[in-house]
Amino acid sequence: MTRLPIAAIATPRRAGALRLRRGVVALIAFAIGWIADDAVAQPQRHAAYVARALAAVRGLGPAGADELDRTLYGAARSQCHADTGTPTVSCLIGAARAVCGGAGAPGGDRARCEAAADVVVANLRSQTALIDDATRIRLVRGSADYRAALAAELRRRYAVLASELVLAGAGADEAQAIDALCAQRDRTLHACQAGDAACVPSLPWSRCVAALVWFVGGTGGTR
Amino acid sequence: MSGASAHNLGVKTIGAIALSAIALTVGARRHALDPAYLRHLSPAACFLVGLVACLAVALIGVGWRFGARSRLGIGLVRGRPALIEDAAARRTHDLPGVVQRLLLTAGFAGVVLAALGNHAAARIVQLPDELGAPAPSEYCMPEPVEAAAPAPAAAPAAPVEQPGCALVMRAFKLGYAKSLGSCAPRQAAPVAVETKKPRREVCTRRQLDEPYLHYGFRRVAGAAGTASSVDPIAAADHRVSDVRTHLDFLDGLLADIRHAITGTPHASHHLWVNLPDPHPQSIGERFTGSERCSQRFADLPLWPAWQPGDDARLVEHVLGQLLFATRFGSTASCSDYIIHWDAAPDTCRQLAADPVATLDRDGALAPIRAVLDRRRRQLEIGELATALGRQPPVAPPGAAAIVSVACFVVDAPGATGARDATGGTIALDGDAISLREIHVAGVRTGGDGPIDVYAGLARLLGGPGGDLAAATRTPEPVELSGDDFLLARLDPLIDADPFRGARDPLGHPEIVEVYPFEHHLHGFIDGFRRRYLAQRGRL
Repeated sequence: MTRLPIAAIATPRRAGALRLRRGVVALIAFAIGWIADDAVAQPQRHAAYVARALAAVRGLGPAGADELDRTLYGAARSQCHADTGTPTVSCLIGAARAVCGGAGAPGGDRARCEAAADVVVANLRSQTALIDDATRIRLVRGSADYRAALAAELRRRYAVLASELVLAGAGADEAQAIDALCAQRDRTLHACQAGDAACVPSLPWSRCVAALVWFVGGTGGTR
Repeated sequence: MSGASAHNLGVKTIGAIALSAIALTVGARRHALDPAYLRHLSPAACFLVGLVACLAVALIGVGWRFGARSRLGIGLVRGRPALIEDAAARRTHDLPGVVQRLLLTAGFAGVVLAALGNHAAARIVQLPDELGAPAPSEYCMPEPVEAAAPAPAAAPAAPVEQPGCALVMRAFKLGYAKSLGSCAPRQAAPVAVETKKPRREVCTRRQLDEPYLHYGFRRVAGAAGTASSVDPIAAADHRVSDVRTHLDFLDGLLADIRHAITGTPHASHHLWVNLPDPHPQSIGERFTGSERCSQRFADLPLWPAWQPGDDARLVEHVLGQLLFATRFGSTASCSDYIIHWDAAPDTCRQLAADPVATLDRDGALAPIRAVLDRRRRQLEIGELATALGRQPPVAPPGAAAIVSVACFVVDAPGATGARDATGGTIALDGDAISLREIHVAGVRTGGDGPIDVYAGLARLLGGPGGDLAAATRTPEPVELSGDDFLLARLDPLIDADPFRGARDPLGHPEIVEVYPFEHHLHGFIDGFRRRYLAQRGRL
C-alpha cells in the first residue's frame, strides 16, 4: 500500500489545523531559543577565570590560604610600602610571583598559588574602599594584632557581600554567579551611610570578585 | 427550553451558594477561619462580626426576597448549561429562603471576620469614649506631670591626673616616698548643669471643669473688650488703606493666583538638537499622550550598549543622566526642560537674530513668557508686602536662572569641526536670557564615543569645569593583556577615569563589561551638577 503524503490526504480543515500546530511549535521553539540565547548572551567572559581563582583558594585550604595572605601582607608592607598608601599593582604582582615561585610556595603548585595570590592582591588593594578611616583607627587603637583585627573586619564585609550573592540566587555554578553579581552589582546604587557595617559600598568588579572568592572559597561555598 | 432536565437550579440558589463560597474563600485566604484565630476572638469581636453580617444580609434581603422562588433557573440542555425562563413552572429546585439567608450570612461573616479582628473591635468599642473625650484644641489640658526621676546618685568624681606626677605616684606605691605632697590626687569638681523649664503659655480655652455658660460669657466679654480697646476710626482707616494698596496690586495678585491654578512651569529651559526625535509620537500616543519625562528618565541604565544610528537616543540618555538621574544626587526638575529635536543647525543664530519669531515657531515662546510673567508677578507681590509694611517673601531667582536656550549641533561630516561652547544673551520682553551653543563633530556610539557626548553636553549646559585632574595623583597604567593576575591587573581601572583621558580600556568590549562606570560617572556628574545647579533656580 502506498502511503500518500500527509498534505495530500489532509482535508482543507485538517491542513489548517496542522499549519496552526506547526506554527505554535515553531513559535515555542523560537521562544525557547530566544530565552536560551539571551541567557547565554549574558557576560560570562570572565567566569572561567573566576572559577580558576575559586578552585585555587579552595585548593589551598584554610591554613594555606591564611599563610599566603600573611606572606603577601608582609611583602606588601616591606616591599610595596603598603603602610603608607595603596600599594601599586605591579609591585604586588611582582611580590606575589616571587612568593609563588620560591621553594615552599603555599599550595605547592605555582599556577594555583598565583591564582590565589591574585585574589589576595586584589583584596589588599580594596581594604581602604571596604573599611573606612574611622573603623581602621578604631582597630589600630583597640587591638593588639592589627592584621588579625583587620582580617576579621574584612571578613564581616565579605559575609555581607556573600549574603547578597545568596539572595541573588547563586546556582550550582558559583563562579558564574559571582561573575554575574559583580558585573551587575555596581550598576545599581549602593550608597552606604557612615558606620553602617551591614552595607558594602559600590565596588569594582575585580574587588567584588576577589572578596567573594576569598569568602566562598574559604568557607566551603554558598550553601 | 423544553429539553431541560429535571435537575434545574434557581439562580437565587446558585447565587447564594456562589457568593457564600467566594466570601468564605476570601476569609479563608486571609486566615480568618483558622481555628486558632477563631479561638482567640473576643466576645465583642464576635458580636460585631455577627451584627455586621446580619445587617448586610438584611440589607441584601430587601432586593433578594428570600421568600419568593427564583424566576430564572439554570439547567442542562443537551449537556450544556442553559438559562430557563419561568423557572417556577418548570420544577426548578430552589433552596429554602432560610437556608439561602444562612448561606449568605456565613459568607459575609467570613469576610467580616477577616476585616474585624480583636483590635478593630476594641477600637470600635472605645470610639464613643474617644469622641467624648475633651480635645486639646477646645480645652485647656492639665500640664503633664513629669515622672519624678530618682535623683542621680553622686558618682565618685574621677581623680585628676596631674602632669609630672607619674614617677612620684610610682615611688609612693612602691614605698619609696611617705607622702604624695603636691601630687596627692584631687577630685574633679562635678559640673552643675542648670536645666531650664520651658515657660507655659496662658491658656484661654475652656477649662475642663468650666460650665459652658461661663465659657461663653468669657468669650463674649473678651471680644467686647478687644473691640473697645481699638479706635474704630483708626481701624477703619487702616483697613481702607490696606484694601487700596491691594487694589493697586490687583493685577499681580490675580495673575499669581492664575499661575498657581493653571500650573505655569517654575522654569523653562530649551535645548535644540539637530538629530531626529528618538521617540517619534505614535498614533496611539496622539490620543493617550506621550510618556512623561519623569518616567522615561526614572531608571536609566548606567552604560548601555549603543548601536550605530542610536545618536539621538545616546544624546537623550546622556542628558537624562546629567540632569535627572536620581542615583547621582540632587536632580533638576524634568518638567522644566524641553528638547526640540530635528532642529536646524543654525537655530541659535536665528534665536540671536529674531528671538521672538524663532521661539514662537518652535512653540517655546508661550512657556518662556509664562515663566517670566510668573516671576514678574512674584516681584510685584514682594513690592505689595513692602508697601503693607510686612516682611517681603524671598525674591525669585533672576530671569537667566529660570529660562535658558541652548543648541547642541552635530556637524555634518566634512564640516569645520568641533568648536567649544559659546555663550551670549538674548532679550525677551526686557529680560536677558542665556543663549549657549556647542558644535560637535559627530556622535560616536561605540567605544569612548559617549564620553564625548557627556563632555560636550556638560560644557554646553554648565560651562567649563574645574580641572580636578591636577589635584589627583597620576593613575596607575592598566595592563590589559595577559592570562594571569586578571583581578589585580583590572584593579587600577578604579583610578582610570575616562573623563580625564584614560579612554583606552573603553575600546575593549571585555573590559567595558566590568568597567567601574558607576564610580567615574558619579564623580563627573556630581561635579557637573554642583556647577550647573548653582546657575539654575526655580520659582
